[in-house]
Amino acid sequence: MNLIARYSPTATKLGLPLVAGFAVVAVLVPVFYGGSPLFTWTTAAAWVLFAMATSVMFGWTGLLSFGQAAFFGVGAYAMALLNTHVPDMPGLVMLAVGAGAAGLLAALFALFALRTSGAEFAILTLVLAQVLWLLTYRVPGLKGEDGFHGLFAIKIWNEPLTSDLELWYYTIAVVGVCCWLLWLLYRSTAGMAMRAVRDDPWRAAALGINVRRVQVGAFGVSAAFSAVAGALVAQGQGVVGPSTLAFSISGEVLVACLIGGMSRFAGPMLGAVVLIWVQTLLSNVFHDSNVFVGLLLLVIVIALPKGLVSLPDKVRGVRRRWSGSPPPPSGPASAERPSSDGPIPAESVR
Amino acid sequence: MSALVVLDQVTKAYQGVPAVRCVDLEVERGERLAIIGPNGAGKSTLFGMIAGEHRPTSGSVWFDGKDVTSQRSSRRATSGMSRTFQVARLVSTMTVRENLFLAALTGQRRGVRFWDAFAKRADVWADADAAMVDAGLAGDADTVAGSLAQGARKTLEMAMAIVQRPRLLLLDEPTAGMGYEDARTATAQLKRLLDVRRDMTIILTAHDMEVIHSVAERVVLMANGETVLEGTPHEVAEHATTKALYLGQGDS
Repeated sequence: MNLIARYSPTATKLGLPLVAGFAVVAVLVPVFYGGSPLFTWTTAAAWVLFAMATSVMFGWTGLLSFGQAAFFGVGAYAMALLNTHVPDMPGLVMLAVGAGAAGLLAALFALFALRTSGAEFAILTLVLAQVLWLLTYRVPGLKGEDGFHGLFAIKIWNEPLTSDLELWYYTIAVVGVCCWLLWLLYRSTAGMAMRAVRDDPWRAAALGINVRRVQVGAFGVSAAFSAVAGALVAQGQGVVGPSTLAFSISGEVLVACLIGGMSRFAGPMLGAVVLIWVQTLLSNVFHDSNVFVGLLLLVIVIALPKGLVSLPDKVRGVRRRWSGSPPPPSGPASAERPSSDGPIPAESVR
Repeated sequence: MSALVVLDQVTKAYQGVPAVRCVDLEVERGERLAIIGPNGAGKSTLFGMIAGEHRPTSGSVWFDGKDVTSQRSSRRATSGMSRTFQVARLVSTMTVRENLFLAALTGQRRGVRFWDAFAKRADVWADADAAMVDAGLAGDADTVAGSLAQGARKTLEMAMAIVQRPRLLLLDEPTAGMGYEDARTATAQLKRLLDVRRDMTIILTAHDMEVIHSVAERVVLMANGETVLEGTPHEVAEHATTKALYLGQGDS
């Protein structure tokens, strides 16, 4: 598949740069931004995690889901419900409970839904998200369209967050730790198994990899981290309503993955930041900014089918063409080995 | 003691149409068996039932004294079966070396773990690299498997099947799709390897009689989903039934 290229070996050395990168961003952003733009950065940080979580399924394991909002919403609603019923519970515990609930729900769902594959599976995930969306209107405890308010008061450990700056540090710290955990998964043998399942489930099974277990696991992990992202957004905005389960959320996170590109570990992170900022900046100017987000995606898909992370390769290619030097051979194998479409032995049976 | 693989009255039907009917087969430990037959005879279906990709409609499959009829193929792989496919199946976005790593991981009977960083499994990489050199693929170590030529794909797949350290090696058409020269080189490589690993039991399907003569000790001829003839490669090749079956429809 064109959108998903191979894993890059550099990813095995990404751990320290990843953590360092988060630390630098965490410190630098408040230096340059404050108030509303800082809040946009906070939202973008949560979406970075959401896009990474989605990439676990979509990019690494090759399972397309149109229902990521289901898990994003479960995380948000878990936060809201716990805050209503157990207000003394620390916020970090609420995050973990929400993640656990979403992971479990996803794993159970996947056990049944993975009897289908491809488009059918994608549609089932969409149905799941829509069912949950409908439940928020039907179940009285979920408060329908009104939703929950006042989540600012949630105590992270002992005290609630009192400023945009604190919210920023809190969000980026949680997202950083979660992305680091996902990176550990990426560079593990289990992460390798996911990529094997994506490329060829038959080969993976013949290698002794339990395809179903890997898929269910990937779905669960993806859901759990999506829930954390949902809870972080909910906490930041202080409100949880049915819109956290809306189809547009599922669509937007896929768009973030595609804009960034999934051929590199960090691609979806980049995509999420670009998506949130473009949406915010455009919504200041135009009434319906999503039209322009759609156009942006169209431009990127046409110009850079592998997303923004493929930009350096693309630039290198263009510069080579301008300087007139010949392109490198496509692969050492094709040069050395003759094509195998040669004659088949005539005496196949004597 | 008992046979390594036993097929007991195995039948596989697709929408009521049988592809394999009532096949009984026993394969002893260390034996090298070839299954031959014209296209559509049911060889690949039979193979799939041994490896676990297909579940028999009726009958049972036994491996190493255990009924594995309903066992999934990955479980069979970890308990000592490895296989190649008629058209090589590889992890196409990974390099040659990484493909062999995954196979070597199974060869060491180690599952995949999320806390197990692959870069740190030096022992497994060592196995993978040794297999890569044996197979003559060292020059392509960092080539992405998806961009290999057909012959190299088959070679890699075979190397993967072997580094999995199987007790039962299943080779589905090991030289299919190769040019004449490649096929002869592959056969010679295979023969050399099998002489070293006498303990490995092998079942292969093939059209290419040179592979069969140089590897197999016993040949089973299939036609229309049934086994019709059995004997040494020479006996089966010379038999009138074989000649009649292949006449006019031999895979030229």
